[in-house]
Amino acid sequence: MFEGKNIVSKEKKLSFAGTLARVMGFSLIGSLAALTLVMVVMLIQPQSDKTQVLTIAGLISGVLIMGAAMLYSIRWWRGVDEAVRQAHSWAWYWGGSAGLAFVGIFYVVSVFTQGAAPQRLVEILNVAGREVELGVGIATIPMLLGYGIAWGIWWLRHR
Amino acid sequence: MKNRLKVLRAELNLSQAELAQRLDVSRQTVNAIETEKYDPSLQLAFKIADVFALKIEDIFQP
Repeated sequence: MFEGKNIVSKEKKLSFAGTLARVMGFSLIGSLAALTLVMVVMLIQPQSDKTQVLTIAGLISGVLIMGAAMLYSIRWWRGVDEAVRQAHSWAWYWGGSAGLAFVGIFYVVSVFTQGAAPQRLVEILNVAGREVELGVGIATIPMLLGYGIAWGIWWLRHR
Repeated sequence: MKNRLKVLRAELNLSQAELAQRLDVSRQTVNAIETEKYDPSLQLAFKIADVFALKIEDIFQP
């Protein structure tokens, strides 16, 4: 006869969609707070250094958004089961590493051409003056794509 | 790792979702264990044994 226990955690779980919604909410709040700060400063002191004001606003917004993302990621991670965690760990290692290998190829090409190839890319994409953003994109997008693909492969193999 | 999870679950007339709720895992995890495509951690194996009031070795075989 069945005499087992009903083992259910009392900790309130956060779904992936719930996590995403909260992070997006904080992103909106962060952006509005930063925008308000810029407007207030520019109204009070119109002669202010625009770049300096926007840098501070960007810092406030970035800290709020990324802080919220990290905090809610911790809460979400604590609520998911071991298979979900293993899928993400596997995706992080294999997908992220594969993406990083792509970034590595790009880096080697840049070194071989002494920066000429990336400069050509900047011209093609018309992003002169925003090379840092391009670099961040080149470094993260392949890893994120690899992560997503590897995550899908893990679940296809274990479903 | 081979296991008798599907048979034991059927004996108790539990759905995968119901067993998943008792184990505090997702239905996909229960399905992956039943189809022997995922080996549970020792902690989860103990939980499963606890739910069926059996020893781990009565459910899982290497």
